[in-house]
Amino acid sequence: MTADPHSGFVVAAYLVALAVIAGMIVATLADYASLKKRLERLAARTGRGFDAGPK
Amino acid sequence: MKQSGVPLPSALGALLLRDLRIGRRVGGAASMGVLFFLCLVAITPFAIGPDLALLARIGPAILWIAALLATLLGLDRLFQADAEDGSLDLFLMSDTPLELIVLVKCLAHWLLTGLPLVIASPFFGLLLGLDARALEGVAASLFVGTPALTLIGAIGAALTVSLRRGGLLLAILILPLSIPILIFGVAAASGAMAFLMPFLVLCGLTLAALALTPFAAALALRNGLE
Amino acid sequence: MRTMPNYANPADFLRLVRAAAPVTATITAILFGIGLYLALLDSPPDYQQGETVRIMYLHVPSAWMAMFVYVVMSSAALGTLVWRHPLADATQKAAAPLGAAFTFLCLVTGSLWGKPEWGTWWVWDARLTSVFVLFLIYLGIIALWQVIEDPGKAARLVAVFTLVGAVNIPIIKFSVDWWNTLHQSASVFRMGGPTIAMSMLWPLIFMTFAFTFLFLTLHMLAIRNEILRRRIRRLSMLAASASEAGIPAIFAEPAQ
Repeated sequence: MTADPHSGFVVAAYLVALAVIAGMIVATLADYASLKKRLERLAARTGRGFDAGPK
Repeated sequence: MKQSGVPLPSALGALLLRDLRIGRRVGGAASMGVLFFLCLVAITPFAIGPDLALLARIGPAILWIAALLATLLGLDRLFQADAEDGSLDLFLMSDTPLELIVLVKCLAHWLLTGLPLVIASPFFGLLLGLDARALEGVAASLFVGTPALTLIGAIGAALTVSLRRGGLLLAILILPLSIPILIFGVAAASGAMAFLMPFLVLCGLTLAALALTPFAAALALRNGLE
Repeated sequence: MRTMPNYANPADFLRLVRAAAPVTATITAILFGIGLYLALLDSPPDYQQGETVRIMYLHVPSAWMAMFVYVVMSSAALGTLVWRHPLADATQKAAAPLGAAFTFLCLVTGSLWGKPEWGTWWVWDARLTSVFVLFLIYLGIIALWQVIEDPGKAARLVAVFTLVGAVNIPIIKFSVDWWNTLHQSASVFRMGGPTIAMSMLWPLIFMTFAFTFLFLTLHMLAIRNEILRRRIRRLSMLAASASEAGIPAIFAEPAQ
């Protein structure tokens, strides 16, 4: 592959693809993690509120 | 259906007159659009250089882009002013179909901004050194093409009606969709090929926009104001 | 009568995602493994283009995804407008950034392919230009999502615009093609459709399926995110209205 003068472009293309795809995956998972944390906090708050059971 | 005393044509006619009167009074939309058009034409030679041969070659393109931008200029207010003073709610409740109201409002907007551009374009074309044949081409293609720009823009105006600053978003949404009109309009105007074929396609695009826009814009207005 | 779970129900859909996402993720990984092996190691360089032909195995699948995601989004837009279903809203919203990313990838790989082939980074070639316009439409859709506060209203307005775009995209494609023949670009690059060699076809097929499954997996996960986001919104509005209605202080969050 090193014999070809243009192999740099091939490597660059695959690196960009890797970056974009990894970016999509990481963004989706990070979004999920933060949403879940917020939901749990909210559920704990309202849940405690409506149980009205002070510990 | 017909319970109200006002027959359909006169209700729409009254709306058209009202829009024209408001447009003429508030800020003078017609003269403002033409003035903006003139400014755009005037700054182009400063960007490109005063070479008349070059200007004549790209003149039709400059006039078309200027017309596109000038049409976009007042579009964000097309429905917004009515939404603010509550007349849009009345339109939504009235017996008159919203689709027809959209069409009449587009007609008023085109009469106030599109038509003056068409009339002014031959004179501005002279500034850019266009010959008689090209002047006719530009005026004819703008006459057929600017209604389509207004109609497609009306969809964007309906989508952004509830946004406080919808003007920029409107342009972002609408400009990609108006590429076909620009392509065939400039082709007809510059006469790079035969005039007739792109001109007829442009007519077709305008008719298609005329057929589809009222439904899309009315759908957007109904959904945007709940 | 209803023995099957109803996947239009958000709760059932979340259960489906929990079960299906690992499966599709595994399939995606396997397809990428095979596809990359074939594309990078097991396929010959092109006799004209040399190694650069390997960019095709990224470029063509992402171009396919750019269109496929728009079709998915348009179907979901119909679902939003006809049935006003929240899941259709989430499907629409989750697809837009993914579609934009694939379209971006298509443009970048096209540019990186164009530099050695054409000698410039960008050519106003008909195909590239159409994809470019599609990218702009994706960005417009994302912008429209971001500026409208109420999720239901945003979904319906975006649906109208998506469908207007769906009607317009073939017209744009046609006019850009016509425009390109008018201006006769210097080097029209042809990718011979059926004449493509078998050794190049297999990696292309595997990479295309890998991209499709990648999208399906990420799309499911992103729809789940949107469902959670709506749930959070609803809960926090409930909490806010409860505290406004003068619920005693013990119901509010305890001050530490």
